Amino acid sequence: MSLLASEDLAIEIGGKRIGGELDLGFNAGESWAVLGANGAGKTTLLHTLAGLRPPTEGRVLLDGQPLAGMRRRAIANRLGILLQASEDPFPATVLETALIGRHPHIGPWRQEGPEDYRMAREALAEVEMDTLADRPIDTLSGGERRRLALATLLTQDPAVYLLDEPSNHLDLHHQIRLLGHLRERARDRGGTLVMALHDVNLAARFCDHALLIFHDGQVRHGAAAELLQPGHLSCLYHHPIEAVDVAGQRAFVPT
Amino acid sequence: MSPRLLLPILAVLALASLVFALIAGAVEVPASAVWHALTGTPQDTPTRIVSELRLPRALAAFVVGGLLALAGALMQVLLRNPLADPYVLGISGGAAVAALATMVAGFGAFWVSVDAFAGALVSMLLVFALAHGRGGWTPTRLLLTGVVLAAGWGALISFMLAVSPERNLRGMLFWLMGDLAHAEMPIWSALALAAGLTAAMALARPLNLMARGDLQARALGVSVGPLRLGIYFIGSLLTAAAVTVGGTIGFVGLIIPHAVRLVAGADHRTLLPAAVLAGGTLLVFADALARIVIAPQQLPVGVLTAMIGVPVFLFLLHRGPRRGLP
Repeated sequence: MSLLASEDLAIEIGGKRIGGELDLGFNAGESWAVLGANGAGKTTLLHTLAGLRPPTEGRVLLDGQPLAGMRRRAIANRLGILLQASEDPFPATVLETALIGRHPHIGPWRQEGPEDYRMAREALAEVEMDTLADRPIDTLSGGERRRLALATLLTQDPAVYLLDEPSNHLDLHHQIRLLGHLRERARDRGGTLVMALHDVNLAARFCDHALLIFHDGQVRHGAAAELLQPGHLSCLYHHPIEAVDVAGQRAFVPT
Repeated sequence: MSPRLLLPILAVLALASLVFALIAGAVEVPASAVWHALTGTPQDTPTRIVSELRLPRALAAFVVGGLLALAGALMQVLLRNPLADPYVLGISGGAAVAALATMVAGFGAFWVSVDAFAGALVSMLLVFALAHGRGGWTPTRLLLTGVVLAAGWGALISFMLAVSPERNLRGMLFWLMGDLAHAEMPIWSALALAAGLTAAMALARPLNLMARGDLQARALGVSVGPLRLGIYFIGSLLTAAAVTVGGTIGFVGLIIPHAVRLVAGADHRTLLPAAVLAGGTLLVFADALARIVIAPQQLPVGVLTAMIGVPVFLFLLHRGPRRGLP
């Protein structure tokens, strides 16, 4: 059974229909790239898969159970999503922010215990922010905020990771290190990774499966090796793209 | 300051404010009279002044201050707007219109309170129904609906002030500025405060998440829709209870939550009880001073809350938030 799956899925943004009879299955150990031009529907698809908005048609299944009938708390126990942007109108520290990831795992009248703090500190160390634990979040840079959001997700420790442009604001070192870390973690713990990306090269490097959303709402999904080809990608972005092999890796270059 | 220290300190301050409110006043009262009033049956005049006038009024001030600060903290997170206060959604406006109309009609203090509460409830339901139209219940939509309705109530209030006979004006103005002179033993409002705080504390951790945006909160397992509805009704009822007892006392509901955030952070599990204690303390001090500054005349307490609160808040803001700002 897939960790996360969809049956006959179709979604709609501003009157445009995406997918239709889309049967997806995200399995343990897999790492998926969701690619498409601006406005293609990557975020909407991720939000639908997370149960944050209802699908136009079909349904989403988490561990084989329909998402629509589950409580938010039960969903958050198994599925986490890194949102494209985070808001913080009120003051909080870095550690407090990472700690909110434990919310779905703690009962209503209970407090965070030492184990929860340990997980939050560990997650901060994984994104190289453990020295900033006491900093107010409004003093962080864009990239640090992004890493903190990732740390919150790691603290949540779900089985299904949905990531909306995880590499946003990250410098080159952190892009490579953190995406690699996420992939390893998903593999080691039997999780699955689904990330909307803008960088085809990151997709090629870290993902074994791909899902392409084309301008007309058509969706193709399957093995990354088959789909990440200059022909498909040129069509996807409406821009000519060529593949070159550098240092034993395949790289895609817009021409 | 660590939350573990803050709550006991605030509790001590609250007790100190109550003692001050019992001793201070236009008539000098020996400390023994305060002791007699609190322990035994009242005998002489000083003892009766304390037990029948000052004690109920001081307790009412504490409860109203606590209600306003708690309601303010809830409204700020509900609307995700730091400028929100208990009155921003027009609940106090509805109460004021009903209260002033009752005064103009010549009814006594009891009916003014009853009608103020009724007016607050009507306003609460109106905002709820209007904001719930097509397009869903977003913070922005709720805020705009409330602000517009509040403006409408404001126009009605100005109208009533303009056409009322001279002899009513002083009473009406005092009600609008907030006044505890007619406060009695605050039994119902104290129960409302206890119930409101208990309910809000049960929702404190979900509130921490809601402060970070609806999507993030839902992604981490909070059912935002029901939570928002619950907070709206709890906050509104707390405000209605406060306004019924003391009129529209300003400043407490807006500033106390921010002051607490500056000292102890924005975790609602600390923020909510601390706001109740700090709001109550501020209002008790302010009301005691309102009685003695130009005694035997009394000032409306709303004037004093701002006069004490503004410098305290500016000091906290200038000092900067707790923990490691560069």
